[in-house]
Amino acid sequence: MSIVEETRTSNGIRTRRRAQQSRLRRITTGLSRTFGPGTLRPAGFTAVAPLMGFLSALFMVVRLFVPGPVGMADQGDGQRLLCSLGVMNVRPWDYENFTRFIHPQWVPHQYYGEGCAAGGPLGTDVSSQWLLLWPAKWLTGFLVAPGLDTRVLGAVCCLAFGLLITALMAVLPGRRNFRILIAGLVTVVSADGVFADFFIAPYSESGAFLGALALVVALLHYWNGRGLRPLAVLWVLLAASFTIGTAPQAASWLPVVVLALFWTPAAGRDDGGSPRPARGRLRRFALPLTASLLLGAFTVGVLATQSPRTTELTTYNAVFAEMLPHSPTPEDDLRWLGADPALASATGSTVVSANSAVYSPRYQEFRDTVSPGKIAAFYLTHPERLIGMAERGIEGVLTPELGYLGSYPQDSGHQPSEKDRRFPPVLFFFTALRAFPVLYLALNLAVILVGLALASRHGSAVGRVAVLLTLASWAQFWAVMLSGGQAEIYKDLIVTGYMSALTVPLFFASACLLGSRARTAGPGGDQSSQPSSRSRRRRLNSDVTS
Amino acid sequence: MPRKVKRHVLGSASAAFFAVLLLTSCAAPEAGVGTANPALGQCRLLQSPDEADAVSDPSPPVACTTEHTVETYRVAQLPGPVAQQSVRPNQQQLRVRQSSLCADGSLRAYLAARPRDSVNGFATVSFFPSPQDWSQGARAYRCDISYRGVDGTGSDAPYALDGSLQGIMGRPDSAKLRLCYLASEEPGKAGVTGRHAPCSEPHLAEDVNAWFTMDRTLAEPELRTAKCLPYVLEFLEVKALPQGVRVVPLLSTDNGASTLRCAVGRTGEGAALSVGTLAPLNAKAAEPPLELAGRVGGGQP
Repeated sequence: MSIVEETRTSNGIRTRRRAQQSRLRRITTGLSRTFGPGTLRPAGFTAVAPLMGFLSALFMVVRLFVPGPVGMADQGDGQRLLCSLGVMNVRPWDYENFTRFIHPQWVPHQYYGEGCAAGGPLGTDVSSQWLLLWPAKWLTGFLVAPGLDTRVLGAVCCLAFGLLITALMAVLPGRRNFRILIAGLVTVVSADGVFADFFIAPYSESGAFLGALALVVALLHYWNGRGLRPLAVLWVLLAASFTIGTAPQAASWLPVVVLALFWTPAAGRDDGGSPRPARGRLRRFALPLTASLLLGAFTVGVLATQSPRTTELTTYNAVFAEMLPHSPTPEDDLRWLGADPALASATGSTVVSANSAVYSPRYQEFRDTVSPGKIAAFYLTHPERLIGMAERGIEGVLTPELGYLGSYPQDSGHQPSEKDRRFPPVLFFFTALRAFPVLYLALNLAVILVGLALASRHGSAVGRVAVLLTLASWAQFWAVMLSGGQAEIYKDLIVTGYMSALTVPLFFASACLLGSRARTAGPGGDQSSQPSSRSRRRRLNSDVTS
Repeated sequence: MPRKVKRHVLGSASAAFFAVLLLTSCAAPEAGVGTANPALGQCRLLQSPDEADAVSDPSPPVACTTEHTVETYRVAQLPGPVAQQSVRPNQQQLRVRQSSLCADGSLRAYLAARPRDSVNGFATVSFFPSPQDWSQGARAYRCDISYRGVDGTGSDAPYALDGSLQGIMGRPDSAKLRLCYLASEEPGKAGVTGRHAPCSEPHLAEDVNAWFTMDRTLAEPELRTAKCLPYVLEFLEVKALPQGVRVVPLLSTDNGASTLRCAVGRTGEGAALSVGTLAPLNAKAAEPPLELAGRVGGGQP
């Protein structure tokens, strides 16, 4: 090839590349015009917010009820949660048939003593999920017959979800289409069968999902700094109380919410960007401190109401189902915990196993000696054991489909234990990640880095929420692994999975806001009404749109 | 107060009020009756597996002539070192002793069942003192019986009964609870168990509570008939087979393991689909006779 031909060829390639780049730029510009955030200021409550909330709720209803209802079969936890409402499940007595299908009908029933739950201090496990169950029970009595139908509970959850999407639209920053896109992504994540099926189920997971979403909304509102600050703190407090109240493992939210409360919107600086005087800071932190103390007291109260039987089962599983099977020296571990090494014969068992330790005369000593605190101390002194546990846990998070619990009613014509896969985007995403678990860690790291960058550069609430939600998912992860562990790992980690999945829309939103600022903000483009130089930078003026 | 602030305050206050109202309006389970001193022959209506699985059951007894699912056939004091514990042992520790605590001859005695009367459709469950009664020194436990059917559906759900089971096996209405077979047989070949049925329904043979694991000594039909004959005679309380009655050795295969089940049936015209029991009965039918009101719980088995 001659030099002339070569030059022509390379010029041609450059021209084509320039044309391709131009096309790409036009596409990204078009996308930015349509879906770009445009501004960091929340739009507030506009007509599109309830419309989006309604459409999201409708989407969830259609996804759950058309062509027939789908839910999550009970594996025994349901009765412990619902019996205190005075209802009994209409179900087969045989465990296998019980778990293969959903049995949505609960009829009024008077329980006596230990017939309802395991006889805790209050006779049953306490959960804020009751706040969803009571309206569902009332509506069931009003619409169908006395009792509780978990399909009605599903409708109540869809309504609550719609309201939360409405609130999310009101507190999200950016232009209308951007907010619709983010709220739509949150709806897509929530509508996956691995999560949405819990709406029609007698579990507290649906409350945990809605609680996590409510906390996202409340924290966005708190960090947006609009409206009355005490009320913003109160909403955070209410959302956190509800979420923590759903199940003992949700207590892991406490440190994260406390951190969020003290991560105040203006970070202790005045409008000119200078550090506030000490008195101002004290005043600024008085409200978060009060709220944190109240939330701490509430969390202690929630944990204290759990029945001793629940604590015993949790401790048993943490040791015999999680710690010992993955230990090179189970006898030494038991010795460290102060229990008899002979109990190592029960390694890998649960309380109902044939080789369960409960049948040993030494079990009483184990029960008296080993506590959740002692197990935590064990892992603090054996941190190398946490690596394997983390690997097992990540695999558990990335296996969100509970194959042993059916999704369909018994008379629906579906096979026993058949799973609902009407809308499985998260299932596909997680299954793909399972092939390369390190990508899960990378995703979490990316969310934190992008969130921190956005939060530090622009003080953006979205960036902060992305960081906090990721931290909360890890707190929940370790709470599950250290308490229940392997015994029912897939179900116990489903809330962690939901929080991880929710970080994806927040990551996308953070990246858009961050990228938009880098590309579009220019001198004199600030239209913020805030007086400070710091807050003046907050509002992004998109020259793409102007 | 500005309108906006007022709206915020009202909204928050009503949300908090709603939350408190709901959290305080739960229907706690009732205490029921004491569990320290259970009484023999009492009937109770336990409708969910969770109630039957509970360690203690303080539900109030109901009249045995009304619908019930369990009936107390044995009451005793808990023996051994377990009883010495100041805190009540957990569910598994107590339940593992159920077979030794409840499965002695007291069940057959209560039902008036002879050794050759099949009690295949019955299940037992034990209940212990509540934690409170245990801490006050109560150690009495009770063994209850429920009827789960012989229809071979494999359902664990008990039937609701409207009569007492005390002495039932000596009465004609025991046919509703006895195990019979709709067996298919070919001349000269071994019979196999077909669909199970209570003896009150048309059947071909009636179980005599003599089951054996199949081995080479039972390879020939004649050997099986010979093996079963003494048990059939014991069931009929006769020294020789009466006219019109025959030994029916049935083969049952479950998970690859074969079992010989000895049964008795009629010959001649009455052989096909007879109704009722061949057991010699020593008591009159209860008035009114025992009725099975269907299984409790929902869903297909």
